[in-house]
Amino acid sequence: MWFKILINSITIAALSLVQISFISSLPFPANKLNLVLAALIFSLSLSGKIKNIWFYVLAGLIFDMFFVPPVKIFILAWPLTFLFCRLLLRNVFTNRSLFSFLAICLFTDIFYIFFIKTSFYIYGFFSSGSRLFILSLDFWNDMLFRITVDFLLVLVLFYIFNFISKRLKPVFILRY
Amino acid sequence: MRRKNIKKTFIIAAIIGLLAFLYFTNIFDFAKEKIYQAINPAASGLYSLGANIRNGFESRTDQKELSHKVKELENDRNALLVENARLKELEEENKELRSYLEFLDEKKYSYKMAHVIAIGVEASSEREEKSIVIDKGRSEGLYPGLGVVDSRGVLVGKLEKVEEKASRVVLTTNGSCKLAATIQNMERTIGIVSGEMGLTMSMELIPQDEEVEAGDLIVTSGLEDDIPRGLLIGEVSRVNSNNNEIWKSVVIEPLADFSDLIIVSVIIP
Repeated sequence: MWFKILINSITIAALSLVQISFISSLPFPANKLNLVLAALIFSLSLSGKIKNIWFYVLAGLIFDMFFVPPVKIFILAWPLTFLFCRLLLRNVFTNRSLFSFLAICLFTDIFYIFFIKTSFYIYGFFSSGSRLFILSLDFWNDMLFRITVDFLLVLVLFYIFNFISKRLKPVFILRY
Repeated sequence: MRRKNIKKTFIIAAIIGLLAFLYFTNIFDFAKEKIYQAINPAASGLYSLGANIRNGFESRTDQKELSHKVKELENDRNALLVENARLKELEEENKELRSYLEFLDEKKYSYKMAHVIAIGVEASSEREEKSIVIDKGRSEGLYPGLGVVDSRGVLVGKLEKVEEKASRVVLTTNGSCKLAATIQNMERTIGIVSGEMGLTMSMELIPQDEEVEAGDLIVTSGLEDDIPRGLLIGEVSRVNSNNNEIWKSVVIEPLADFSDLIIVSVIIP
């Protein structure tokens, strides 16, 4: 059991590091990929265990340490995104179909981006006064690119998983 | 069953809240240093790999354009050689005059070289991504406000936030970066240079009677305690002037190549 925890921790830490250092330095639009979010969606969909939240606390810690954000919010952002995704999976969407995965990706991405942006805005509002991000066309443009790129990533990963395992259905779930 | 799940979720949320509190109060600092030491080399390696991919993707291969650019650069080089010779003479004269007048030695400053390990902040848009993270921090004597230069000595930004072994550098084109600067014109106009939209910089409130032209160089004025005088920031690309107004402003093109930042130096006064 401990070996499995160690392997998972190293995997999440490596993914976080790749996200921070490698993905951020790639040309547009590849730098909009969110590998950790895709890992979160798939790990929840395939295992669904709430104790996996600790791996995303670790991811948040690494993000806070290496992105050096204005306010240390990632240690809360990732676990909350995990809980939100889990809520969607348990109450709204299935963990079998492609459309379901894409919908979860959409809502989770929106939740994650809004949570971080709102936190930075509140911090910026009290320290130096900053413009509301939802009024910026740049923000919506950026959100659209992020969601599109993450959709493509989830699509590719879904088909890879579908090729390896029979647990996932490609497009539709047929009711008999 | 449901009550058990709610209780479980509540306990996990409480533990996360406690850990977050301990984290924000810096109780885990002893472990952070070890983590930085272990991960920083991998982070800078990954960043270099990504930056090389980005540069390879963005580089132009048009033969004609390249040869035209080479010709332009050769002309610039020849003009700079002449200027350099003249400046060397002036430097010698300056040294001699200083020794006659027994002036104190010019302030010396030291550099701390650092690798870039990340760009921007997660979830930031293209225009907001005008910051970088370097692998040096408080343990190396850095603190917010210090200037950061590239390999040619051109100012790229200043330190905004400093952790134990990592720091965020806000680039000169970032709206939150303000620098005390001087225009190298006849009047040596001083002012504040601010980043604009992540692309350029501007200096406002320049009196109408001061002559400023496109091509004038902008350097740091030395009025900030932590950034020495004379560091090149950019050059004037456009002058916005209206005779009906008291002030004019200039648009400044940065001279640093932000796409090629892999190693930078932090100036410690």
